[in-house]
Formats: sequence, structure tokens, C-alpha cells
Amino acid sequence: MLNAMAHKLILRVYRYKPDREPYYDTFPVEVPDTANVLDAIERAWDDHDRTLMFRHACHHASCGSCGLRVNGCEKLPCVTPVADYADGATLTIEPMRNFPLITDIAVDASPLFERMQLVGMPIIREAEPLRADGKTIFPEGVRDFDRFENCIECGLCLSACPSMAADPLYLGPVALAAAERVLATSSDSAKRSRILELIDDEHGLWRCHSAWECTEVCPYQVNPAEAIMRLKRIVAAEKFKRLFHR
Amino acid sequence: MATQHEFEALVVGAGGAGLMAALHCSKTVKNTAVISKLYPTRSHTGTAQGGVAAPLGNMEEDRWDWYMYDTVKGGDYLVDQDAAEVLAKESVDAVIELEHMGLPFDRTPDGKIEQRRFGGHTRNFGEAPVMRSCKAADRTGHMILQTLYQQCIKQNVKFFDEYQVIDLIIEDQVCRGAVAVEILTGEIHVFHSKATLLAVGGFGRVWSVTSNAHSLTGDTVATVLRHDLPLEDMEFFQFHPTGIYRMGVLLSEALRGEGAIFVNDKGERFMERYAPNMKDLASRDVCSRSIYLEIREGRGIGGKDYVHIDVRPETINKYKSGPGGKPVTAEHLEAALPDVFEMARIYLGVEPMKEGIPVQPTAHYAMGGVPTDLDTRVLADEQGAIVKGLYAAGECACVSVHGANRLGTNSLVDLIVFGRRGGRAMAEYVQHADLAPLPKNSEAYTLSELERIRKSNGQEKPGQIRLEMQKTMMDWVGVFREGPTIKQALDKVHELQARYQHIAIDDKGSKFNTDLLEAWELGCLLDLAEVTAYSALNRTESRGAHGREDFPKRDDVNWLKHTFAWRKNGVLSVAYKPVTITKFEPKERKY
Ligand SMILES: Cc1cc2nc3c(=O)[nH]c(=O)nc-3n(C[C@H](O)[C@H](O)[C@H](O)COP(=O)(O)OP(=O)(O)OC[C@H]3O[C@@H](n4cnc5c(N)ncnc54)[C@H](O)[C@@H]3O)c2cc1C
Repeated sequence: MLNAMAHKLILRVYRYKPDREPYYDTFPVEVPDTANVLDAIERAWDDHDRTLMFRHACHHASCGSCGLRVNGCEKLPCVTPVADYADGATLTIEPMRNFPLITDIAVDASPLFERMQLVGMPIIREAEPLRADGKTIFPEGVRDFDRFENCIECGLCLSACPSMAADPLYLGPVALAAAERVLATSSDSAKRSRILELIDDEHGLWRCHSAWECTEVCPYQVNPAEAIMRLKRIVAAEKFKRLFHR
Repeated sequence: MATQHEFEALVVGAGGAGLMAALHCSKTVKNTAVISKLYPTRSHTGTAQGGVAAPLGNMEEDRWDWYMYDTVKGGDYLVDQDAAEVLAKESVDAVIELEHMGLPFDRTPDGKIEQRRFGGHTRNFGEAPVMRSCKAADRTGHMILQTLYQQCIKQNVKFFDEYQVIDLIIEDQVCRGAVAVEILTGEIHVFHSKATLLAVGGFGRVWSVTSNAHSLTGDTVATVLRHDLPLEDMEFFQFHPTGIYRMGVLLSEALRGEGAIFVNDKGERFMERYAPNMKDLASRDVCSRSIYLEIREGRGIGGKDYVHIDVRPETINKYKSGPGGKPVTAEHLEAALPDVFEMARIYLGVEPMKEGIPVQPTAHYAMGGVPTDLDTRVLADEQGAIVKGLYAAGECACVSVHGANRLGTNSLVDLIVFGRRGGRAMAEYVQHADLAPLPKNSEAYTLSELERIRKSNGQEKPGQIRLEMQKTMMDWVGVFREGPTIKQALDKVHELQARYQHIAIDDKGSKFNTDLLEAWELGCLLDLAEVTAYSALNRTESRGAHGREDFPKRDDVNWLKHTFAWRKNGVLSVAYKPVTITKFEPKERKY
């Protein structure tokens, strides 16, 4: 691994500018076999065509900027080793699906952020503040949410979701997982009923057909699919409760 | 034509410092805006793994003056001690404030915020390591960003995401706002404001091996310089000892907090020789230099330019290097350092439970930057004159709490303590300040500068110039430096600046033109490289991160002072400002 060898790839990159039909460009690149796909894309940019547009910042799976598709699979290219693909292989690089395309492989991520804001963005749960003695008591089960707090909002789950493709208004995996967090931890009844109304809708929860693609592609094991399953149970129980109280 | 906006208070940058400032400012100033070239939660603060220091004393006794001492000593006594006192004292309630906002800190079994050790943090003025770092696993920065962003949205702070500030509007030593380009459309926007706070982060992209994001190009720091204002202590740039070999991606110091040790080709724990007391938990500059010395003596792994960091439980238990000398298990390490292990596996294909992880020093953190006072007000000179309405906080600023070398976990503290101070100072200022009028054509410079780059059709490739700059700075203004080679580096940067005038870019369009904006950023990086090399050349001593081979000793008689460097009409000059010393007299630094 430490004596890096040259690794050759052919990048077949999706190109799109607002005023013309999309097409594919082909860039042969050479990178060390220790490199990641993002390095290969940067090479193409630096050596072949600096009009190629793509987002990237931290280069180590923390910032969530660079999500795209490699040979049809959702990936964070900054942590996808080129060595996963044979020397000389052709990689088809395409933008994420289910987002408005800006240009080339850069999408407009605002649908993701808008959805997060709709549910009140609870990536971070409400605090159980320290008491005067500097200690705190946790609600039961709160540790189960730790993984959700790792969400880096890369959008891969939205791109991979077949229900999202069928219904552009669908709330989508990550926002539903966030909604589940609110319902499972908040006792604020106004907030709860707002969220319930939001998700118990034709573009909400019931759109999910449990394809589990979201969980499959998540780089941080957030497991939105599992959260959605739990959410379905919560909503069913709430409905039942309301029926009962009528 | 530029679109005009008017705000009471403006924050440039949406990392930890910018968001904390915006949040606190917006508590009284309803009309607060944040401009950021990245979507806020994509900012580099999100990558901070290790933790945020505060002497809470949750695990063992701790005191703010111990913490202040460590910060001053860590900074090799170039720290302004009044600033370090503020940092040490205010860290406690700043961390509690984050906790109340909902930041999911790790907890002890009885529900207190759990703390761990970090390099250079000690009990009783250097006696032994202390558990002072508060953390959320190894995703502390991510949690800080998410928490603060959520709070800012609640406070109705207005966000301009993916807008890049190209110029500041400063006239007669009064800042009147900023000029930005909307990256998506290429449109120019003029932001008119009473107060503007800069929180644009660092500029590690000056060097070839760096832990810093692609976006850390110090744009606005260079802009300050271009307004004939000084930058402070630019010769002090921290090289972190545990960068992933060749890639520079950072492995958190939390590794060593949990007990990992450095090992050379002979299997020796070489830090025992360089820092007999703190060993692998000595400060970063000391560790990085020790690694270079080992490599130079031919004791790098396989004779190459890297060493191993060994985190196997059997190693930690053999040397009793775990917290409190207690035994550790593989399960505990996996739970405490999930991201770090994943990185070793993904980037190197190395299994950290079975073998050493190859590391080398990586350009990491700017101790220097835009000089400010304790309320983050930007200084116009070494005498203490201020630029009205202009503030700076976070990594781009220099108050100076980090002096010649920053301790681990101290940047996040700096962000929240001085971000908060900055937000409050702005809120206070805008209440009685008038909106200073905009000069005519405030966007003229931005328009002409971008147009110049777009139209320029020389032979030079920006990518090539960038590579040459990064290599030059890595080789000659890195962990070790000496007069003649720094001079060579400076000459080379001047050559590159001249060649930069003849670049050509491929993308002549205006929408989402990253070719254009990165070419502009390259100009900023070159200016910062120039000032860094120049400041390093002038300082004829070794202190903290500035290791001169031709002047290997610290020289308090002549050099216990901060560098202020200017570049006016292309001419560089320096002045010096004495270090503020209150509690701790400088003495030799031993770990
Ligand atoms: C890998 C890594 C791990 C680290 N771990 C730790 C740790 O454990 N503990 C610790 O204390 N420190 C750590 N640090 C250091 C710390 O994370 C940074 O110093 C700190 O986050 C900087 O925060 P900031 O708010 O100053 O800037 P950043 O978070 O870098 O944010 C800069 C902001 O400015 C914006 N910006 C930049 N230029 C422009 C422009 N021209 N126009 C508009 N907006 C602009 C960006 O979009 C961004 O929002 C680590 C650093 C790295 C690289």
C-alpha cells in the first residue's frame, strides 16, 4: 500500500450546461493506486478541463459536499479508493439523482436542506441540560440516536431512493429519520402534531416502500430505513390513540 | 450592476467562530447576516475530531490557571497572557452554553460531560497529563457546527450560502461592508453594514501536505493585507505530527490521548528521548520536529519519510501509556476513536489493531492572522489603533492565544470564546454607530479583478503555479527552515506572483465558475505565502512552530515580540509588538 503504483482510469463524465444537451466527456487520468476517485476527478479538472464543475471541500468524508454516482452507485468519491476499480477501467461519473442539476456533476442540494428545516432540523437532539450538580439524567433509549447525529447531509440517501424518484415532493429518507427523532424524544405536543401532520401525508411516510437503498448508501451508518420503520409504528400507534379518544 | 444589501451586522464565514458570533450578535441585533462560500455545515470546523478544552474538573481536579499556564507554555511564551486568561476562564461557561443548546457531549456514567487527555494539557503547572478535553466521540466539530447552525436558524439569522467575499469596503480606517460574488450565478453583491466580522478560517492550502480542506485558502486574510493592513505572526504555522502518510489527512491527537505512541523503524518509542516527561503527549511542534529528526537520522520506517503511530492495545498496555496508566481494550479504543480507525482503514488499508499507522507531519493550523484586541476588533498597527467596524475571530484571527504553537483542542475553544466576544462586541457597537456611507463604485475592484483573470490569456496554468508554490513552502518554509532556503522560497514566490499575472483560465463563463474563483484564490494564497516566508526570514530565532536550523535557540532578549507584517504597493515591511505577560514569566520549555 505504501509503495504507490500508478493506476490508470478512464473517467466518463456527465457534462451539462444549461444552454445545451447533456453529453459525456472522456478523460484518461493517472493517479497513485492509493488515491481516491475524487483525486482522479481533480486530475481530470487540472489536466484536461477546468470548466468541469464539481463540489468538494474537506476530502475526508466530513463535509458531505462531494456526493455523486460512480458506475450508477451513490458514493462519496473522497473515500472511494480507485483501487476498487481495475487498472484501466472506465468509470462513469454522474451527478446525484433527485436533485436539480446545476451544471455537470454539481447539483443544487437545497431540497435536502429545505426538508431538514421542515422537520426542524433535529440532527442534534434537544438537550437534557446538566442539573446544578453538573449531572444529567438521560431519557431511556436516547443513546440509540447517536448514529443519527453523525449525518453529514451528503444527500446520497435521497439520490438512491426509488420513492424519491417517483415523487419529487416526497419528504425523503433523511428528513423522515429526523422526524422520527423529534417524535421519539420530544414531549412538546404542538411540535409533535405539526410533525405528525407533515409526515402522515401522501408525500410523507407512506411513500417509503422499504427499499433500504438509503441505508445501503449512507457513509455513516445512519440507517434512515430503520428509523422510517419505527416511524410507521409510531404513527400507527398515534392514530389508534386518537381514534380511541374521539 | 451589483445587487445591494444592508445589514446592521455582517459575518463572513460560517464555521464555529462565525456562527457563534452571528448567534450572539443576533440576540440583540435583529438584522444580522452571514455570508459563506460553503454551505454552513460544510465548513471546516465540522472536521475537528478531538475535542474542546475546558477545565471543568469532571474527571479529576482541574483549574483555569493550570489551563492558562499550559496554553502560554504550549505557545512557547509568545501568547498574550491577558488573552489566554480570557480563554481559560471563559471556556467553562462557553462549553456549558453549547451543552445547553443541545450539543451531545459524551458523558460519564453519572451524566457529567466526559473529558479526555490531549497533548500539552497538564495538572498543576506541568506535573502530569490532565483530562480536560470535552468531546462528542471524535466528531466534536461536526456537532458544534450543527448545534450552532440550528440555533442561528432559530434566531432568524439571514444566510447567504455559496457567496464568496472578494473584497472588503474599507475607507478612512472604517469598514463599511463587503463585496461578494454569488457563486452559482456569478452576480456581484454589495453588503453595506455597520459592523463586519471575519471568520474565514485558515490557509493550509499554501503547503503541499495539509490536513486542510480544499476551501481553506485564506481569501479574506489576503484581502485585509491588500487593504494595507498588517498580519500578525505569520511565520507560525503548525505542522501536526499525525498526518496520514502522503495524504496529509489528519488523524486526531485523541489517538495519543487514548495512549497511542510514536514508533520509529527500530521499534523505539523515540519521544522518550525528546520529551522525557510528557513523551508522546508533548506539544505538536515538539513531536513534529522529533519525527523529522528521526527521519533525518535514517530511522523513518524502512528509511523512508514517515514513522508509525501505534495504537494497538498490547503496545499501550506494555508502555502503560493509556489514560492514568490504566490498561485499555480494543473495544474501548474502537468506541472512542471510530472515525480515526475508519480513516486508517480506508486511506491506508492499515488495520490499526494489528499494525502501526504510517504518519508524517502535515500543515494544519495558522497561529497567525488578522491581529485583534480582546474584543476581536481588528488592529491597524502594532500600537493598538483599530479599524472601526471590522472584527475577526477564529483561525483567521490572531488575538494571540496560541502564540508560537497551538495546543490541541484550543482552536475550538478559541472559536466559541472569541466568536461569542466578537458577536457581543458587534452588537454593542452597532447600537450607537452610524452606518458609514458607501464609497462610490465599491464593487469596482471586484469587477475589474475578476475580469482581469477571466480575460488574461497568457501561457501560465494556475494548477502548475499552485503546485510549485505548495512544494516550495513545504520544502523550505516547513517544520524546519533556515535563512538561505527561506530566502530562496521568497524569491520563488515572487517569481510565481509574476507568472500569476500571465495565467489563462479555461472557463470564460460567469455561472458557477470555479476555475475563475480558484484562480483568484491562488492569488490570495501566493500573497499569504509571501508574507509567511518574509516573516519567517526576519525572525532569527527558533520558537514553537518556527524552527530555524541556523538559529536553533529561543531568544527572549531580542524576540519576545509579535511580528506585524505589511505589504504596501508590493513592498514588504515589519514592525514588532511586545508580548503581554501577566502571570507567567518566560522560562525554558520542557515536556
Ligand atoms: C482535520 C482537523 C481536525 C481538527 N481537530 C481539532 C480539534 O479536535 N480541536 C480543536 O480545537 N481544533 C481542531 N482543528 C482546528 C479547528 O477545526 C479549526 O481551526 C477551526 O474549526 C476553524 O474554525 P473557523 O470558524 O475559524 O473557520 P472554518 O470552520 O474553517 O470556517 C471558515 C468559513 O469561512 C468561509 N469562507 C472562507 N473564505 C470565504 C470567503 N472568501 N467568502 C465567504 N466565506 C468564506 C467558509 O465557507 C467557512 O464557512 C482541526 C482542524 C482540522 C483540519
